[in-house]
Formats: sequence, structure tokens, C-alpha cells
Amino acid sequence: MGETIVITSGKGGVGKTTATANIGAGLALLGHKVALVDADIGLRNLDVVLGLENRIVYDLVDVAHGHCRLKQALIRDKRFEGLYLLPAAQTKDKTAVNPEQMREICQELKKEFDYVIVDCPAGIEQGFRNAIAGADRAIVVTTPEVAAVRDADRVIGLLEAAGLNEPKLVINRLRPKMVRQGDMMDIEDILDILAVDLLGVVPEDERIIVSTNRGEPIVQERNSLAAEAFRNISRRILGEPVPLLDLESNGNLLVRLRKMLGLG
Amino acid sequence: MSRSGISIKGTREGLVIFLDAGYDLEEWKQNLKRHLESARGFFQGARFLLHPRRELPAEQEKEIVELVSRYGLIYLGRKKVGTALATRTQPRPPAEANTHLYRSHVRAGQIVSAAENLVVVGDVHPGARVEAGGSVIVCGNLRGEVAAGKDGNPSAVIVAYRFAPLRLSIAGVSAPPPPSSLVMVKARLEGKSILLEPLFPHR
Repeated sequence: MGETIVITSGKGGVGKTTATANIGAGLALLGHKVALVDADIGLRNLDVVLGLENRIVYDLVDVAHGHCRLKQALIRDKRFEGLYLLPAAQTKDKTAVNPEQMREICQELKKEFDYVIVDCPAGIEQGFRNAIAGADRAIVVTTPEVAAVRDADRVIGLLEAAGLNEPKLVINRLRPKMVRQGDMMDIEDILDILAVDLLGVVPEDERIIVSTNRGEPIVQERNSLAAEAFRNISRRILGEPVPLLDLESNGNLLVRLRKMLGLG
Repeated sequence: MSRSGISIKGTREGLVIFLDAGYDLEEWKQNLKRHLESARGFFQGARFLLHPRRELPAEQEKEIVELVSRYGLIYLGRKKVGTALATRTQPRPPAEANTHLYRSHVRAGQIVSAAENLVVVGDVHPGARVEAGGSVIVCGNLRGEVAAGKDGNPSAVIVAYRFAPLRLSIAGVSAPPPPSSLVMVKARLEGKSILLEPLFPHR
């Protein structure tokens, strides 16, 4: 029996979908069988980020309403052994599915997969309630911005109220240089406000934009700090004690990263 | 003592001589004399107030003041009702009685409310609100909104390990948030404004 992990944030645009794709691909690279579920009905894009859009036949709503079997809707990602996607419907809205149906789908997927990772829509309404319904654990993604942190706090409260205790935090798009200059909240500030455990910190990386546009998860890249951060997050999900990336003095990699960002 | 129609109490403002109802002027004078005789010299130089518990005409007041002044006491005037002594003898508001213990962080969008006192073992995050009829004690960081004495109890206080609320009020009186985070602070109402003071001033 596998485990369902919901990836949520409250605020939109902080990188939930990118995190879902990369954490899922990372777990698959580590040899696990992973199903990614796009719960963002009506605004689906996990399929785009994964480059699987053109292979969608059935979707989550079809499964919930019994128009097809779960297996028919699952898309296998040929680049990552063991990675599958259950896409969202594009033409319906959040009310097309209810929490009970989501719970059943997650339950069924868990029989087959080691990890079921649900990409939650932004907001705290029906879509959020659907996405968290079948979850065993939660990962909250935030960026080092006051508004994103505030929304993350709100969502952590709602998760706890729903019995998803001790969600783990991913801080995305951190810019070490701005932190150094005192222009961006640092990791300590964010943890101090949110009072949750940190799962990982992903530095800002332009190559993420390129990778999402191309539909190729960055996690397999060898010379990207963001990719390394996502790989580390996947390993921590498995329970491995991986130290945080040193974004400040990680000689070679950071120099390369700075060059890529045009800062060196 | 009160059976004699006279009682004397020391207060911050000076001695207060209570003139009980149901006695006439002569009885008061007689008993006062006895009191002051028996404590001869002890009240010398003390300031005193009169607190008559029935109508006291001006000429009667004058007679009493004259009598008391003969023993070296200095008259300040009538006791004003509602000052220190009067408030102290009021029954304690029920808000002092019970305490609600909340053992978790209070996160954005959440409101924790207690009819009486509230103790939060955890942080109060920005966007969260804690309120109580009595005092609010936060064993953690206080960064949200806080309202103590929300039903008008002016003796309520707010205490936090780290004090940086976005908004605070005691008994409906609000104050601007402190400019920076303070450590171990107690906020209390002093007249019409909120005073912030260190929780342990001698440390």
C-alpha cells in the first residue's frame, strides 16, 4: 500500500505544479512507482509541464464518473520508469468531482503505486478540499514573499484542521544574492513565521522556465542547483537525512548557476 | 470599629475616615475623639479624607474637620467616589476566574476566542486573531491580532514571550503596534492608553 502526498500552497504561481512534476520524477528516478494526479480541474497544466498533453484520452473526471477505468486514464511517462499521470479535465470545473470520489481514486491508486502525488489547485475552496481529501501527508510550497508565506500559513492551518498534521515546507525560488543583500526573506525568517519542518529549498533557476516550457522535468539535469534541490527533496520524502544544499558557498555549482543567471 | 459609626482606613491618598450612616453628628464626634485619643500622636501630621455614608451638611463637616485637626491631622477634602479604594473593593470580574489553554500555533485566518483568560502555547501568526474576556498570554511569538478584556475588563493584560502584534487592544482601547519585536512584554491599560512594560523589569 502506497502513500498519498498532496502538494499545495494557497497562493498561485509559487511552483506547485513544477514541484509536483519534479518531485514525482525524482521519486521515479529513485526506483519508485509514482502516480501524479492533477486536481486542478478546468486549469490543468501538470500534463503540459510534463510534456504529456498530447497523450491524454481520459481524465480525472471521466474516472470519477465511471466513464472509463482508472488504468485507461493513466498516462505512462516513457522517459521516467514508473512515472504515471492522471490528468485533470480541461472543460469542467472543480465541482465536477467531490472529495469522496477523490478519496476513492487515491485509495485505488495507492494499491498500485508507491507514491500518489496530488497537485492541488490554488485557493482554499472546493478544489483544495478535493485535492486534500485522499491525502496521507502534505507538502506546502511557498516562495520567499510575504503574501505567499501568509497564504501558506493559512493553508497549513486548514490542513491541520483536516487532520493532515505536520505538513512539510518547500521554499521555492529563493535568490541567495537577494537574501544576502537583505532584500528577500531568508529561510530562517520563513520558518520562524510558519513554525513547520523544512523539506527543502529550491533556488531560483531560469532553466526551470525552459524545462517547463519544453515539458521536461529539470530533475534529471546534472548541473542545475534547482534540479539537485528537487532530487534531495525526493530523497528526504523517502526518509533519507539529506543535508540542505549550501546555496551560499557551493563553489563550482554556484559559480555555474550564477553564470547561468547572468550574475557572475 | 464600624459599630462605633467611625472607621479609619489608610489608602495611598491618605487616611480615609468613614462616617457610617445611622449615626448623628454627636455620636460621630464622640467616637472620633475616642479613636484619636487612643491613638494619640500616631496620626500626627497625617492627611485625611472624609467619606460620609449619608448626607453631610457643610457645617457638620466643618465641626468634624475642626475636631480632627486638633489632633494634628491635615484635611484634604471629601473622598471622591470611584478612586483607588472604591475600585479595589469591587468584586473581581468573572473574567479572572477561568483559563482556556490552547496548545497549538494560531495560523493566518484562524480565530481563537475565550470567554475568560486565554493561554496560547504556541505562536500567533500574522493574519490570526486571539481574543479573550480576560487576559491573553502567548507562550511564543505574538504577531497577529490580539484583544484582551474584549467585554470591557480594564484589568486584563496581554503577555507574550515575543511581542510584535499587528494590532492590539485592551477593553476596547487600541494601541499602535510596537515598531519592532519586543521580548517578554506585558501590556496593560493605564487610563486611556496601553502601556508596554518588561515582564521581568529587574532582570
